[in-house]
Parts: sequence; structure tokens; C-alpha cells
Amino acid sequence: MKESNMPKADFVMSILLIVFGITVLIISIGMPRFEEMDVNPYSAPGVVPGFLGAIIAVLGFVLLIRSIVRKGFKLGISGRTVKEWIRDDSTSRLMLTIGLCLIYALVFIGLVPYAVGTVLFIFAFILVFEYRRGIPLREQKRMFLGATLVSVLSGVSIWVLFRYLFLVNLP
Amino acid sequence: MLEGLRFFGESFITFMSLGIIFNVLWATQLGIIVGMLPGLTATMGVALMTTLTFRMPASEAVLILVCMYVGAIYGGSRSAILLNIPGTPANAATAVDGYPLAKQGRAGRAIGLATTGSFIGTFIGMIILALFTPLIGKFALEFKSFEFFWLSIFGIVICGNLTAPKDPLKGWIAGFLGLLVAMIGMEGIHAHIRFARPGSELSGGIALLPAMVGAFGFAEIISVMKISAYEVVKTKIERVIPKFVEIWMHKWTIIRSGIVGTFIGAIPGVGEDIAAWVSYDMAKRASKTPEKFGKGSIEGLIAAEAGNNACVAGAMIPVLSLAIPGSAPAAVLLAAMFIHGVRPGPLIMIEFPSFVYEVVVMVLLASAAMLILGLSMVRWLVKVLLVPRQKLMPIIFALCVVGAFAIQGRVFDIGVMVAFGLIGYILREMEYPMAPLVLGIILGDILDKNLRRALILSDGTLEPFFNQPIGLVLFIVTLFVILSKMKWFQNLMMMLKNLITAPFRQSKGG
Repeated sequence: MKESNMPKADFVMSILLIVFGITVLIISIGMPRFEEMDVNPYSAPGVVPGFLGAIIAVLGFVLLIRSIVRKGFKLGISGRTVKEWIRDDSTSRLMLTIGLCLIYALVFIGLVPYAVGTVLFIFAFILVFEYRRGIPLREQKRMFLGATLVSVLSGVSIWVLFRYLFLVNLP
Repeated sequence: MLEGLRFFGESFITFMSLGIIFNVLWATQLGIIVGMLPGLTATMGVALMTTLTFRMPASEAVLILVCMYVGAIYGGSRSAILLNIPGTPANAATAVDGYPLAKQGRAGRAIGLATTGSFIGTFIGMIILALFTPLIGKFALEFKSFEFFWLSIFGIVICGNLTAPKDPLKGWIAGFLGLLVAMIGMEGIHAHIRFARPGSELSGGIALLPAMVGAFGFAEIISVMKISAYEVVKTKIERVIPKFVEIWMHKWTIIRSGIVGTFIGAIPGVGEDIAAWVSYDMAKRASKTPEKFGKGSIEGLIAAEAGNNACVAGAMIPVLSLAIPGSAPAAVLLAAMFIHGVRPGPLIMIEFPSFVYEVVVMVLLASAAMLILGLSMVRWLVKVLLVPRQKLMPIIFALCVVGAFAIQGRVFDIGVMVAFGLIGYILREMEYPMAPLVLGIILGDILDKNLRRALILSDGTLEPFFNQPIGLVLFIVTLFVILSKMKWFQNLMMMLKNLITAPFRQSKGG
């Protein structure tokens, strides 16, 4: 992240932290105290989370004041800055990585057999980052071959290793 | 002392079998490769290896993890020298002088010196580990709830302070968030389920390993894929094995860095990266040629490498004696020990007296393997750096997923890994360090039980928190650490210093 954007990020984060800290504190106060069981009030489950929630809210407040002093409240979000961010090369790489990983971990696992899902994920990942637009497919044969080889070899080895050597019941 | 030597000798003999030496060699080599590859850190290596070894006997599994840890911290120096990208954060200081040396065509020499420096650093750390762990363990037997409460707060504060030197506030926030994560699930006194519905997966709490695989694995993958590709320096690698004179010339730098690195390692949560920077900085101050630092100084390179590797052994001192990790990879090691039924902590010298010395022998074997492997196969290993990241990262992510799942066989843990990866990435972008967060997850349980026990013992009064000597010292140090970052306190200290030294200056002047 750019150094100049840090006070803005701090401003947003500090508000989140204060809200989070206070929420934790309220939930902790609402936790049972087992008074009817004649339990020592200091052993109540809410004591420590409440203490931590309060500290997080205080630290968030310090961060808020500091970010306001550094003019972090001027967020400066406009259509232009958002467009610039979306068009940035590193943003597309970031989004592709997160998207592919989430599809694999949260959708594929459990839906398709483990080995198939893993091979497909690795193949798709390599393909997405190595495919060159504008170059005919015939000239990218080597890339396809490499991606197939790497994905099948590594996917199947991971599956065999965990399934048969470590005896893990894979999803 | 004599008993210690006996345990050391016995452990050494038990480890002298072909099978074990084979394990040491492959685990250290794998560690070096993991360390070398940017995007694969020591923490991730040790965490993934824990999932691969959890069916092995305890001592064998811990041995492999120690080798992985030592190998990875050392291996990172390779990419720091050749790519100017530290393979693990621990080698950032190595890159400052290692890369200029490689550009001057002295890559082989730099690799050789970094290897030898790392070896001697680990060796110094190992001696301190053997001497101090039993002592601290005995001392910690005196700790009661008040002391453990202060120790956990002290750990979070100092860890936050040192891992985010630019902005300690963010380090402390990360630490307290970690403590709060540990509060999720069933608590240890009344078995009440906090922040989760009874019967839901979350009611079992958040396990450390999936969280760490996410925060250090998935988050790292995202960071690596975001940046543009790197290039390896095209340089001929000449003589790697260093001359004895070169090492002897820098003996004081190595010894100083070894001792400093070990003690920084022993501070809760403060890991190899800080150890390397502090050793580097001290070497620069003590050097006769400080102007060479940053332009290819051998002294700087050796100081950084001896410092970060000594830290590995240092980080194990609190793991064994207090069950508090000295660094992020050591946190995984601690979790792995619990999985294997070894319970480190103040009772270790009573319950498992030989285990401490077994760990010392493991460090010795790992560092010997590191020296041998590090000085050989250099040219061949450089080729590993040519593996493109878009081929490597999906495989690593597949391992993160299966690793998070394997230990308890819960799909829920994959979700935990992904969530911690995303949160970890966002926090990292905003310069929140990950080490205090992880330390918080471990210290949370200690803080929870001991604060409540202490309050029951004192019947709600705060006096006993401050009138016991150990607790008081921990409180004063914690307070000092916090205040030392505040401007008004720094000014006050300067004023006091001037006030005290003024009469002496006057008498000198007069």
C-alpha cells in the first residue's frame, strides 16, 4: 500500500476496531455469571473477553485520533481512483489469485473428488497466468503441455501421499 | 550440569542411526529449498511439515520440524544474495550486503560466508539453549497466576513493539486481536461456549495450525502473485568454501551476533527478522568500516546470518521452559509438540527431563546438515530459483488446503485457513505484523485462565498484581516498553539525562 494512503486505511480500520471492541464488550457483559450456582463473580466467562474488547476499543480510539491528525478522514474515493485501481495490473493478478483459490478451497473441495479438483485447480491457475492473449493457440502448445504435466503430477502425488501414506480421509 | 551432559550424550547416541541421519538430511535440504523460494517462509514450511509428520513418533517428528526450521532460515539467505529478495523475512538484512556482493561477482564467497556464519550462530544459540532452558524452567516453577498474567501481557506488548518498530500501536492491536481469537469456543473454567453457538463447528475454537497456514501461507501466496516477476542475478559462482582466515577475522562479529540473536529469539514472539536487523545494526556500530555496510560488507552479511540462525535456538528456550513461542515458526513447533503428547512448560525438567537435551541434539544435527548441504550443491540448487511462481504457488495452496484439513479432518478448518489468509493479507497490507497475532492466539488461554484465577485469589483487589517481585518487574518493563514509544516520555527522559549529566559536564568543562 502507498504510504500516502495509510492514514485513510487507518481511519477506516480504527472505526471498525472501535465498533468491534465495543460489540465484544457488550456481548461479554451479557455472558452468564452463574450467580445462581454461587460461583465467584471474578471467574465469570465474560471477564477476560470484556477486558480485551475494552482494550481493542481504546487502541482503536488512539488510532482514530492519530489518523484524524494526519487527515485520514479525507478518503478521496472517486470514480477515477476506483477505475485506476481496477485497471492496475497488480490488482487483476491479486483478484485472479484470490478468486481461483476461493473457488478451489470453498467450492471444489467436497463437491468434486479431491484429486480431480486439485488437478483442475493447478491446471487452471497455471493457464490463467501463462496464457498470452493475441498469440495463436498453436504457438502456445508447450505451455498447455507444461500446465497439464505439472498439474497432473503434483495433484496426483499430493492425493496419493495424503490418502495412502498418511491415511487421511480426504473430502 | 553433569546430569545435563549425560542426557545430551544419551540423546546423541540414540540419534546416531542411519534412518535418523537420512531424515535429518532430507528435512534440512527441503528446509533450504523452502527458505530459498520467495513466498515460502519458515513458518509455512514448519506448519506444512507438521501436517506431514503427525503420524510419526514424537521425537522423530520434532527432529524433522527442527531441521526444516533451521534449514529454511538459512536457505533464505540464498535468494537474498542472488535475487535481492529475502527468501524468508529473516533474511532481509542479509540482502542488504549479500546482493551487492553478488553483483560484484562474489556470490560464491557470499554464500560460503553466510553458510559458515549461520552454522556458528546456530552453534552459539545451541549452547545457550542447553545452559539456560533448565534454569528458566526452574525459575518459572515459582510463577503463579499473577506472574503468568503479566508474562502474557508483557509478551504481547514487547512482541508488538519489536515486530512493528515503525508503528508499535499496530503491533499491539494485532496482539490483542490474537488474544481475542483465542477466546472463541469453550472456556476452561466453567465450560461455557463463548462467541459461538453450542454445537456449531466454531464452538470447538479456532485451531492454531489452520490459522497459521492461512496467515503465513495463503496470505503470502496472494502477496507473491501480486508483485511482478523477479530475475535471478546472472553471475558465475566461484569458490564457495570460505577461507579460515576470513572467518577468524570476523570472530567477534560472529560471537556478538550469535549471543544477541539467541537472546532476541528468547523474547516471546520476536523472531529471526528482528534478530538479524539488531545483529546487523550492532555490527555496523562496532565496525571499523561502517561506510562499507550496504555496499557489500562481509561483516554485515555474517552478522545478519549468524544473528538470524542463532535466533532459532533462542526461540526454543521459552518454548521448552514456559510453553511460550519465541518466534512464529517456534509457535508451530510448540503446537506440534502438544499434538505429539510432549507438554513443554515449567514442568518439563520434571516430566520430560531428557527432552530438552534431545532438542539440543536436534539443533546440533540440523546445523551440521545445514553446513554440509549449504557448502555443497550450490550451483545445482540455484536452478530451483528458476521455477516460475505461477507453477509453484497453486501447488503450495493445494498443500495449504490439505494441510489445514489433515490434522483434525474437518472441512471447517479449510474455511478457517482461507479466512485467516484473507484477513492476514489485508492486515499485512496495512502494516499490521502477523507475529503478535499468532502469539496472541497461543497466549490467550494462558491469559484467560490466569487473570481469572488471580482475581479469585485476590478477591478482586489489584494489589497482589503489583506487590510480588517478579510480577512487579514484568509490569514495570511492560509499562516502560509502552512509554518508550511516546514522544513526551522520550523528551522527559532526555531532560532527565541532561539534568543528571549536567554537573559532570560542567566539572569537565571547568
